[in-house]
Amino acid sequence: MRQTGITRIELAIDPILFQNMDAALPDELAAPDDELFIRRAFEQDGRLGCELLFRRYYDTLCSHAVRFVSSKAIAEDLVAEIFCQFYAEKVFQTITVSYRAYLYKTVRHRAYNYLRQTIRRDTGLEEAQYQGVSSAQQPDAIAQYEELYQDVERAIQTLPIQRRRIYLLHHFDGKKYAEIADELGLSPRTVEVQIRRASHHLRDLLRDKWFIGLLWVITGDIS
Amino acid sequence: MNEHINKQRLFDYFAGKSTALEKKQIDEWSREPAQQEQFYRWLDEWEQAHRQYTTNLPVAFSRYHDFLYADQAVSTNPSPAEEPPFRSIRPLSRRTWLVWAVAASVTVLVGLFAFRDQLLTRTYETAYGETRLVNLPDGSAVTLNSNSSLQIPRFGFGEPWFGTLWFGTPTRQVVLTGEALFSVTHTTTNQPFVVKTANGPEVVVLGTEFTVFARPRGTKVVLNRGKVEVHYQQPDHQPRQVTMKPGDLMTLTPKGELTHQQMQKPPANPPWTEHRFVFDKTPLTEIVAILAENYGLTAEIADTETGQLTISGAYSAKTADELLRIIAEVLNIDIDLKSGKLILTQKPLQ
Repeated sequence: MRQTGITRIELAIDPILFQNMDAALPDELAAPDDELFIRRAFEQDGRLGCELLFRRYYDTLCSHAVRFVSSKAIAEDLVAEIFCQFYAEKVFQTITVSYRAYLYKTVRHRAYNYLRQTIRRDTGLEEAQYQGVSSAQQPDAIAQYEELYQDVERAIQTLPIQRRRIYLLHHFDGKKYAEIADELGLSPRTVEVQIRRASHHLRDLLRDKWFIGLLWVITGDIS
Repeated sequence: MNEHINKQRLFDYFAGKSTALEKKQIDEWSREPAQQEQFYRWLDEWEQAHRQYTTNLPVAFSRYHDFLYADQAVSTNPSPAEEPPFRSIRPLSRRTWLVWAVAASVTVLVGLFAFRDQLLTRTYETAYGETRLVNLPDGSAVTLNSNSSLQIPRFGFGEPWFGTLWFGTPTRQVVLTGEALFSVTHTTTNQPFVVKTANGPEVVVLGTEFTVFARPRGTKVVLNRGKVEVHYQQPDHQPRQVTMKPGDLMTLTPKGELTHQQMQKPPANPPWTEHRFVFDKTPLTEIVAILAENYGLTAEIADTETGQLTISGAYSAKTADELLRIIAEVLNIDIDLKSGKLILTQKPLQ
C-alpha cells in the first residue's frame, strides 16, 4: 500500500525518476500487498470482499475484455459472470495468486474462448457467451493475449472507414441495424451487408493464426 | 531477471508499440511465475490509464449486489459439505435428453410482468413484425410473436441444484411479455414449467402446448394439449388457481375479471405463427390494438361508429401494410396519413 502511494506521487512529478526506481527495486519490495484491505474483508465476509473486488476491478476488466470481444455488452456480461462465479464457487477461499492476477487471467481465458467460438463458428454468437472457461487449447503464455487483442485491433483498422464505423456502431455500441441506418442515412439492408462483410473479413484475418491448430508463436503483425 | 523490463516497457508493450525483440524479451520474462504478479499489476495500471470506454459502474454494481444478497431470500441452502457440481453451462441446443413431449394447446393471454433484471437471466426479444423460435435447454420450444420478450435463467435451466441455490425453486421458470406459443417437454423428474407474466397470472405446466397472450390490455391463455394450472390474484389480493383442460380459453382483464370458457375447436397452432390472422366478429378497435402491439403502428379511428365495424374470416398478412390493405378493402375504409398518424374513416355509402 505504502509503496503504491509513493510510486503514484513519483509519476506525477517525474516519469523518468519513476522508471529508474522500478529497475532498482529488489524482488521483495517489488510486490507489496496492495490488496491487503480486500483480503481482510474476505476474512470477515465473502460478500463484502466480493463487493470491494467488484468496485476495484470491474471497470478495468471490462476495458480489457472489450479489446478482445469488441462489444461493450459482451464484455460486461463476461466480467459480471466472472464475479458471480467467484462468489458462487467461493474462489476466494482457495485462491493462491492475487485477486487481480486471477481475475485478469480468467477474463483473458473467457475472452479467448468467446473469440474462438465466434470466429470458428462452432456455435452462434449468443451461445458463445455461455461457454465457461475450458483449459483446452488456450494460449499458454501470458504475452500471447496481448498479441491477440492487438491483432483484433489491427484487423479492425484494416476495414475501410465507413465499414469500420458501421461495424463498431453495431458491435461495440450495440446499436441495431435500423438505428445505424437512421443515423448514417443508409438503408438497413446496406448496413446489414456492410456488417456481414466486415465480420467475414475479420474472421478470415484472425482465424488461421489463432484458432486453428495448437501451436502459438509470437510472429509479429498479421499483414 | 532481465534488467531492461520495467513499467514503461510493459506500457509500450500493452499499447502495441514494442519491437519484435522487445516482445520476445517480455514474453520470456512473463513466463517466470515470479514475474506474473508484476505483469498483472502493471496491466491493471495501464488499463486504468487507457480505458476503452466508460462503464456504468453504479448500475452494474447494484445488480451484483442484488446477486450477492439474493440467496438471503432462499429458504433452503445446500449444506456446506455438499460439493457443488462443476458448472457446465450448456449452449442452447436442440438435443432433448430428458424428454418426451406431452403437448397440450393452450392459448393464454397474460398481462405484462415486469421481471427484475438480474445478471442471471437472458432475454430474447422480437421486434415489431417479427416472429422467432427459441429452443430452451430442456428441449422445450417457444415461438415468440411480434414485439414480445422471453426471459430465462442464464445458468442451469432445468437443473434442480441451481434452482435451489439461486431461485429457491426448480428453475424451469420464464418470464413473458407479449405473446408466445409454448411447447413444453415433460421431464422424468416431473419438474414443473412456470410462465410468469407482468402483473398477472402464472401458468404452471408439466408438459403441454399452450399459447400465452400477455399485453397491457389483458391476459389470455389457450390450452391445446395437456393440463395447466393458472395461478392469479384477484383484486382483493387473494391468490387463486384455475385448472384448464384442452380447448379451454381463459381471459383475465386488467381489472382482474376472469372468464373461463370452452372453445369449440382450438387451433393447432395460433395463426400468427404462419403470418395469418383469424377474426371472429372482431371489432376494428381490437384490430387497431393488434396493429399497435405487433407492428408498433398507431392508428386512430375517426368515430365510434367506424370502430364498431367487425370483421370475420382468416387472412394472410406478413406486414402491417398488408393487414391494413385487407381491412380497408373488407370494411370499406379510407386510410389517411395526417401528421404522421394513420386515421381510419368509413367510406361514405354510395
